[in-house]
Amino acid sequence: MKSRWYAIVLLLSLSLGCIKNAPLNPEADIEQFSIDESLLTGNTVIDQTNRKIKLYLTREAYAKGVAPVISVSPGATLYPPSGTLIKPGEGKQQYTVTAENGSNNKTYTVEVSSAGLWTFNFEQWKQNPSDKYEYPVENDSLTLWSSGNAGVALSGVPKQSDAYPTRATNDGYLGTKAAELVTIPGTALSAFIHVYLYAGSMFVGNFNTGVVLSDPLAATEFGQPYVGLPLRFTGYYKYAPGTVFQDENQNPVAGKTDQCAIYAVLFQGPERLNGKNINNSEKIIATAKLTDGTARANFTRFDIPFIYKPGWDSSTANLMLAIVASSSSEGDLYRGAIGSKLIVDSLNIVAQ
Amino acid sequence: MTRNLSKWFGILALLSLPYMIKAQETGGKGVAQPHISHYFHLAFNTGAATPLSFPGNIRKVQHYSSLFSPVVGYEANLPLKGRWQVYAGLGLSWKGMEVTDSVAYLHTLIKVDSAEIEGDFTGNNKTTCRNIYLNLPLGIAYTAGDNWRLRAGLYLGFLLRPSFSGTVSDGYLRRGNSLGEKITIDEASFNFDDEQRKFDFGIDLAVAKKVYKKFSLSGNLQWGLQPLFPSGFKGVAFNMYNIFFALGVQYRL
Repeated sequence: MKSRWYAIVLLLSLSLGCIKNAPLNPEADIEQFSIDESLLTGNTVIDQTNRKIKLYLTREAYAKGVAPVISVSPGATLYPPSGTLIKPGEGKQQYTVTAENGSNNKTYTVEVSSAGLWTFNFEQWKQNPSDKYEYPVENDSLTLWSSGNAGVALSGVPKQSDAYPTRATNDGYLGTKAAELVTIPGTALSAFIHVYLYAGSMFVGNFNTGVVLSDPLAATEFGQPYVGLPLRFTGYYKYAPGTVFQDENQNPVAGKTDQCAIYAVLFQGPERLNGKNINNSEKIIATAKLTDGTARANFTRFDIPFIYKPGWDSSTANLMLAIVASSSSEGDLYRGAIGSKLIVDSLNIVAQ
Repeated sequence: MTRNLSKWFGILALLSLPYMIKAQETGGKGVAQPHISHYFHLAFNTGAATPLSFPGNIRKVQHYSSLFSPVVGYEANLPLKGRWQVYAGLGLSWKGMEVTDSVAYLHTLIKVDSAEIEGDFTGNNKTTCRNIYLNLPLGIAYTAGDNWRLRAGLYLGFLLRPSFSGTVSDGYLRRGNSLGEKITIDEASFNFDDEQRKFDFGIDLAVAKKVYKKFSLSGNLQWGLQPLFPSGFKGVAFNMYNIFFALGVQYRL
């Protein structure tokens, strides 16, 4: 009998009375940042990775200021509070969120983005301070380009720039810097989610790490606001496909050679397209696509006209433009050849 | 330090068995000396690899099972004086559990080969643990009346087959810590089989009551004093201990 009592006491002590009060929320996110759509040229981006709020404002809104309605993590407080008028034109604007637990806080910096000249030489790069991947910046240090690197970082690759599929190279056109995109193998962790390959990719837009595990194709948010109408997409590239093409399950595909992808898409914003609809969205107005993605040993110039959809509405507001490049054209489906290398340089959108 | 300690305990326990048997053989020659008694155990473990007190990060335990966790073993008792004996045993002990719980801001680091990801997880967790230990209890036993036998001592456990894995689902990971970016996780798996310590030790308490001829009912608490994972391991934010109660029968040879 005694033994049973021991058992009962033990089980009770293990299963009951042990759940404590919930800890105070330690999270300090800006979750939503809403501005009247009429004041925007593109949807606002909350860049959680770099703690930035990227605003795409009309000229008028930029001059007059905006009063965003902001929501934060449950229990957290915000300064300056939601609804406060801010004028991004008048110096650096920051928001500080203090978590419910009082000890955690996070500062977001407002960045007003505008793509002026759509000419990209990839001469200036920065490095992510914690994960060490590289990304190109414009002369005014704005970031218009993004890549899959932030997603690859989650699979636990070594923290060094050449461990990532997208990086700077000194092997650019005419000996300058350029963007190098290499298809790399997955890691032991990415194999858990059945990802065995990462294509090098870069694009004008933003990368949303939040959904990269649950809905990876939605993580690439393509496009930035564009003013005017693009005529041609030009640039230089060279490409060396890897030796063995593999499918999404890591099986070699005999007789198939990897190809690169380079294209530009004009579409109706202010909502960005993503990896799921960049090829087939109803909102696409025009595309300029490199048709031959086979090997090029030396830098090769391309000059591709935008082909407009017949009957498109020329009064469409909130035009956005995306440029996408990948070292494996089927990289979005995790197919390609490890080692495929694409270098792109001097990309340019020629306007009317 | 711990490793050395474990080695000495192990050697001590292994050495003690033949001595007892030897003692019995010599004891059997004519002179009326008390005999060594031998027992065989068959029992089933109920318990868990558990923190001593639940951290606030564990919000709710939805499901718990101790799985099929048998204990088989042999135990020798060497008479000391009067009703006192020393005991030493050798056996196999399955220490298993399956737990589904909800956690909030639980710090974890998942490392496979050279790839690792660290952060605070909020969501559901399912952990299945089914370790098999070589089990060596040793200590002092006391016989009360004709029917009761109590024992108290230490046990040593050598992990023969590690098994500690599970999934996290319907939640999100904060990269690095609770201020990191939020990454939605529908489902991901983890496996900490080989992260566990190879050696476990703790308190061994048992009580047995004779029920029929040579058969007794027994209850045996083994309370681990050493965390399952070494201190450098960051996959689980809190220390977990093997705390198991085995209920079963023993047969006296």
